[in-house]
Amino acid sequence: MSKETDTIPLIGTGTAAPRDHSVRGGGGGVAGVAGRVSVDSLRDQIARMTRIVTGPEFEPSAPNKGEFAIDEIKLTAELTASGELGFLVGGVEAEAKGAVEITFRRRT
Amino acid sequence: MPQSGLQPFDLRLDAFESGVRYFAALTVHESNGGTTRRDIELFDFRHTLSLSRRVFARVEQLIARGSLTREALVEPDLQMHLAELNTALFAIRLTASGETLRDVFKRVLGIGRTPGIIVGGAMRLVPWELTTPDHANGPDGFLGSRAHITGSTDPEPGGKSSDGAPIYLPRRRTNILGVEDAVHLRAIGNMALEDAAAEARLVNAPNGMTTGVVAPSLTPGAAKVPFFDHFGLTGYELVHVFAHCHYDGGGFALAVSNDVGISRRDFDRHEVMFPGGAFHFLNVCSGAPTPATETFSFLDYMVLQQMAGGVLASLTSVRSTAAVAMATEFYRAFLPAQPNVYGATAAEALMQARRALWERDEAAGYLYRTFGRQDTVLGPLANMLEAENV
Repeated sequence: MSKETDTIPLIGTGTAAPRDHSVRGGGGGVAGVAGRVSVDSLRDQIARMTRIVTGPEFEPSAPNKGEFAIDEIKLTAELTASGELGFLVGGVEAEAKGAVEITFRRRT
Repeated sequence: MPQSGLQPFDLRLDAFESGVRYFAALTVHESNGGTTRRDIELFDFRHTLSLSRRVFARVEQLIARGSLTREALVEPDLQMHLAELNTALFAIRLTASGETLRDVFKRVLGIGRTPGIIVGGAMRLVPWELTTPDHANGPDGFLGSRAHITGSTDPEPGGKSSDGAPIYLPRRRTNILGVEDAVHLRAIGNMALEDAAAEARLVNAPNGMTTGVVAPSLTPGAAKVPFFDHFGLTGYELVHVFAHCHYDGGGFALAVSNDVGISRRDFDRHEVMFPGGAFHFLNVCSGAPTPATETFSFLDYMVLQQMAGGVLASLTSVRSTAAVAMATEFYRAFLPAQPNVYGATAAEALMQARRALWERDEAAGYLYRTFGRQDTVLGPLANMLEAENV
């Protein structure tokens, strides 16, 4: 079992009620620790994502002949409550609050 | 019969943005003795909204500290903010007539009965109930004691004038929700709220001939289908919500327990449809939009998407004890005591509830406003059908 120092807390926001029930006040969503993800697991997942993006599949098969070329790839990933890192797709704007943005820039 | 003489409205104020400049077009519409007049003005509304925001913020602070008593409502800071707002708001001079807004309000307030005032657009973000055109403090001076103020979520149908401005025509027919043998109510509740049991008892049997049911409670991870199945297109006239409400990127969200929230997306996902024209009592914090929660509000959802008829909603946070007292007093006046008689209109019931709470040193009634059809009234089904055939 991993020690707490080897894990990173996942902070989630939800629609849980504010603690003060005497006032029907908003106060926004309540932030809390939704779970923990191990550092090793997170490192492995980021490394896997990096391998995919920097692998040969993403290299142009032929020299760029046109005026424009891909210079930068920006990916938005999301950590799920179970600690899994996945690509964030469109149409889930609210969940983007827990997103991780990774930018790959071509070496010059 | 319902209270006679309650016109749909006597004065109507709307505001619209104009291009990239934050200018608002103010339309004043009076209906008094069959005459109508319309003034259109352009002025910068930002300062008034800023002052409104200060008033709401101070009210929220006072509520967080304790009940909004008479003394709290007239405490120096709030009074200073209200004085600034009153001055800025009612000193607006209408170019067309040369009158100030104060002149217009005082004339409408002097018509010999309680006038109906509708506020729409950015105008509904002003705490009108706490303002006064003549600087009188206390409940006798507040506009909320002297006029039936109702918020509008969209322009009334009435066409447009030659210059493209909407024309608002008063609707004189009372909005009757037909009652046969009993009034039926469906509710959403958060039983963790202080005094929730009292509010649940109230909505279960708020009056002798009324039956109400609170939706089943939700536990974390449980399917929400039974909860949303509680609501249907027919079979009830009233919707009552007592819960926490807050806003995030996805719109409004209701906390229905310590662990479970339902959002606007949940309502959409489960294709919830309330009866069109039903009356909704949103006894949650900030159910209606304010300068601080200027977004697609819970109220907007209920009116624009669920086609609610009339709505009663709070403009700010509210203490739970005051919210229950408010519901008790409102339903006491709004619900008919027996078949074949009318209850009070929503506007009049709100006024009565304010007075009853004020007698108990509670000012929270001034934080509630009717929206949509302020003339909604529960009455005999036969009369509703007759009215529809007029």
